[in-house]
Amino acid sequence: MRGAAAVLRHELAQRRLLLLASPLLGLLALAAPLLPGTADAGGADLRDTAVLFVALALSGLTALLLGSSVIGADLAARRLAFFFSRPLSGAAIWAGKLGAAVICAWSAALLALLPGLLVDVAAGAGGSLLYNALVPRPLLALWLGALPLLVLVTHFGGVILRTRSKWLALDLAGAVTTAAVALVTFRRLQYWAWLDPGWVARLAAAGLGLASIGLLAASAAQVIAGRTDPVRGHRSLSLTFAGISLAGVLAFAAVAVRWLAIGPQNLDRWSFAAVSPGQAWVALSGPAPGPPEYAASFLLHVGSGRSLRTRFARGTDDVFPVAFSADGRRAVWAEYDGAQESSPVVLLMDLDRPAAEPVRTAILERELPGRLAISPHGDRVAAVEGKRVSVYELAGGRLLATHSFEDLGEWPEPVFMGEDRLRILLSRWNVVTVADLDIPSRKLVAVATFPDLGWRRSLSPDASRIAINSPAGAVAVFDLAGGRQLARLSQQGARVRANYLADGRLARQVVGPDGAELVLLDGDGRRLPDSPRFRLPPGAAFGWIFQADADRLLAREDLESREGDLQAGWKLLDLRRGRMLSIGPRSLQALMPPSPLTPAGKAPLFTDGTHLLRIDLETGKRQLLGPARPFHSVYRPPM
Amino acid sequence: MNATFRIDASDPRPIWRQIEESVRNLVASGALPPSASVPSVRELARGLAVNPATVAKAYQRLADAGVLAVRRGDGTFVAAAPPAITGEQRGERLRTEALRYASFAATLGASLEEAAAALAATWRDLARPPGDREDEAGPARKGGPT
Amino acid sequence: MSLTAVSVSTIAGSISPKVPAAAFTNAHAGAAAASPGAAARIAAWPLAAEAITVRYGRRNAVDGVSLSLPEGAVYALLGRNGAGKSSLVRCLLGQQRATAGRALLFGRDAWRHRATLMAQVGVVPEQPDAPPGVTARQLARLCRPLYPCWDGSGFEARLRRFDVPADRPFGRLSKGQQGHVALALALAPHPRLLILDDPTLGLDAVARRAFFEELIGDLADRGTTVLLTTHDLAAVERIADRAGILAGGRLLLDEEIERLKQRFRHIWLPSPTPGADAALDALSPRGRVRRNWRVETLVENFDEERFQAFQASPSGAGAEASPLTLEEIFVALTGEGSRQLAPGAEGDPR
Repeated sequence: MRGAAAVLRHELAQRRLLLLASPLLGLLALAAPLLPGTADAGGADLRDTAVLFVALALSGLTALLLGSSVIGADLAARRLAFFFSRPLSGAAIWAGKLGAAVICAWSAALLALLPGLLVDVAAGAGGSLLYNALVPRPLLALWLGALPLLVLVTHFGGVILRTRSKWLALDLAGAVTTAAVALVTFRRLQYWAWLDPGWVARLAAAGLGLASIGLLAASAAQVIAGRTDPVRGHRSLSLTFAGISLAGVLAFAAVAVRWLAIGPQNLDRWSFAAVSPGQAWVALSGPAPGPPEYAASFLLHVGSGRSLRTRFARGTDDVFPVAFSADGRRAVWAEYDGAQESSPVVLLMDLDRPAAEPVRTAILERELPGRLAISPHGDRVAAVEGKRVSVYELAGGRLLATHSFEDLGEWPEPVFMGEDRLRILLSRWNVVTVADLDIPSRKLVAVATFPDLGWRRSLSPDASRIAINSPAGAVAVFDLAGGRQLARLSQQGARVRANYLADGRLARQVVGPDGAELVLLDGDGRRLPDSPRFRLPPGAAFGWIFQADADRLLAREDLESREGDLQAGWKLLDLRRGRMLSIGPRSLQALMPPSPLTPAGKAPLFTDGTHLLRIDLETGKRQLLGPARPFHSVYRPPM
Repeated sequence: MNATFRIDASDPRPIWRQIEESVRNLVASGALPPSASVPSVRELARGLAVNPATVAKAYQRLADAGVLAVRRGDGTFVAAAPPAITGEQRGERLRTEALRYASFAATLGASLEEAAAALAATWRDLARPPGDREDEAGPARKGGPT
Repeated sequence: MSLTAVSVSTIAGSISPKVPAAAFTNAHAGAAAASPGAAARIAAWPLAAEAITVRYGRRNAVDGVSLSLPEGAVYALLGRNGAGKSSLVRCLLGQQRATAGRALLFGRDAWRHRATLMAQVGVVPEQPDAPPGVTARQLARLCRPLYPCWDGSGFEARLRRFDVPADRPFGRLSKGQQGHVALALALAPHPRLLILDDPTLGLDAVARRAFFEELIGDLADRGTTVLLTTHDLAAVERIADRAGILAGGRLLLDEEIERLKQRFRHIWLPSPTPGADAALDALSPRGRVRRNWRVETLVENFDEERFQAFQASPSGAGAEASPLTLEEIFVALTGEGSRQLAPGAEGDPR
């Protein structure tokens, strides 16, 4: 400590002239407004800017010159032995000399500012110099913090250039390798993990911090281990810096690999899961360990366990459209092509083979589609971009028809009725309009208009009827052909919910103070005499009702609480015997098709938090299929 | 005393021996009278440009032999009654130097008479008072350090 | 040949109270082999090099050099340029790491404990290495707080004696003045050990004389241990009590100068006779050269009796033996003709 102080004082005393010149130059800068041609610039502002410029330039130059010479010059001229022949530790020599360079740089800045500050205070502006618009205070503070780094960098460069030993090869190789690994890792992270600018800034700061530590340690090693030998000093410098920077960047790469090399079983949980018709594939996504808001999405082939990493989830709650064709043979989804939110693409995959790979379609949209629909046989795709609905031929990407709408409150909802007809539901204020787009003729035909009573809409399988759930607790059933209301389901003091099943029947439940009751109606909303009734105790209600087959329904029991629904578990509703069976504990969650209009099948997929399994609803037998994660859906698929 | 003798690098005798013998000779010849002060180890070492330890060794031997006396606080002096060189010692010393002279004369091819005559002439020269000496090349005449 | 130890401490103060007991012993290796206790004692001496090897690439600049200095010794390390002196000195000063072996100062590893050890060591380098823009006084101000004691008045007195202006920048002093400042800085903290690497290189005769006088004064006052590398062999002969010759990285010799000079003689025969060669061989020569009409032989381990017998013999008639100065011994051992004269010499004199 004492040695370092002695060296520091000695080095500072040698540079007295510089410290004397700084305030003088600052004084000179005050005369800037007197320069010709500056009459129109604000006098005080110009003065302040000139003073700040002088301070920054002077301190920068000082850092550059002293950083490269304070140790390097002595080392090259074989004068460093003077210090090493005294009772001074290598650390004291290093700290004293570099410390003096840093202090000189800081002093140059502050001393150059001093006259300007004094003038400001005298003029009553009270330090307006530091509030200069051109060089704001944070920038000034940042600059002062950067000066030591500048000293370290020039010292490093000075050693390398003066010594010109073979260790330069390691310096270059190390720098190139570090930069390459860092860049590759960063780009991969950006592509797969959607790093936002905040994260980019954080990574840059970490990188800078690592470089600073590396430079600091390397310069100390050069002095302490290299002592008076320039080549050995360079060796210590190179090994230390390359070691630290490579170790840091490799650690970064290793962490990134851990974040990126994951499968569906590595997600924290599954927050979105949609099963294809036929139950062969599951599209799923969920938060993954790593940066905040990091989510990964996959297409999982249930039978083989093979998973394909996709990019249709940008965050836990932000999932891009995924659609399966009704015959279960094709899937389409939307992604962004690059790491930025630009160049959206629509990807297509044939689900017939487990070893399928996604293919980029030729469909081009300016923005990522808000909704996608695929025709029953998978030949056509309807994409909604803003207020425009477009229909494309999947093979070739040819635009078949397009229509733009106005005055919309939400995205239009397209539904294919066969290969040639697209039914579009449009919400405008309190009105829902249904329009059919005839694809061959490209003509839009208005079909029906009816008041929009709510936000939960259930379309019948043939798209001829619609049941609208209103928040008030009533359900209205409309005929889409004419817009005629077919039924109104409501009950005093209770809430009514209904959705269409895959076979066209309507499942209606009434949730009242003494519990919930589920009953089946026909497609028009009329009672079915032989429909069994299912009851749940007070505080519980059914969620979406899915159809397993003609005799079985699957429904989720939701416990209503003040915080919102808690999923209690899945229930099998045996229509023939009129019995309600619990499939499993609350932890068992079902993976359902995107819409209740697709039958869930006799052996739907479930997850118990660790395994993916199929439960045969007839026999109750469970078949373990592979690893899985807890599934708690916060994403409600449309329709 | 500094001016009185030199250290001869080509002399096989160790430096301390040369110093010792020179001092002895000076004392014996009367150039350094009894109770005269002699330079300190430091002074002599600097004057001769030799290691003080060497001078110290010579002085130690001289003190042991009774030639020099050390008075604490005052310095080093010639003993009040320095031991005279015994006739035996003198004879031995003379013979040593005589051998050298004789060998030298023999290489020149001189005879005993010539050598003896040269020796006698030099002796007579030395015995004359200082002003009369023809040969002033003695190192004693030249001042300054060696 | 054994030499008596001089115990100067029996002499009362006025001669030189600070000249300590100097035990002139035989070669380092011999004493170390004598007993492990002796080896440990030697290791605690002011300076000890234990089988130091310094390797640059394929070349051994210093090859297994061992030497040691007891307290109060003045050791001269001689060698031609490139013999490895500077590398060895750097190892001893803890500024370079030896490839093998240890450098010990006061019993501690010089590389590891350099910072604390330098408090007791004064260093005068070959090239002046003080920052050129600093004055002598400022250098003293830098060094003073680093040492436990500092003789500031002594420093100033030395500068005055050397006629060095204390307020002129170091770079503007003459080479001689720079050397004097370096010596003054080295002596001011009253070090126990002085290491001087060719301190009088490039100095004129006056400056050189003044330098050695100052050194001798310090030796007389404080009995400092000194390691000196130099080419000034005349000065070495007078000041040093022990010398080592480094050639090709190896220590050819390491002994007291007194003994060295007694061992070597130059014998010349005016006219060689038939039996002369054999008889000369019996004198354990180091090498023989025939020049025109006479034979010159460098004899190591000269024995007076044997020589006299030789002189008396018919083949040795007219033989003369003359002593060599240290310079002559050095040149004979390491010079161009050294391989001729010293068939048993190891290593490359270059």
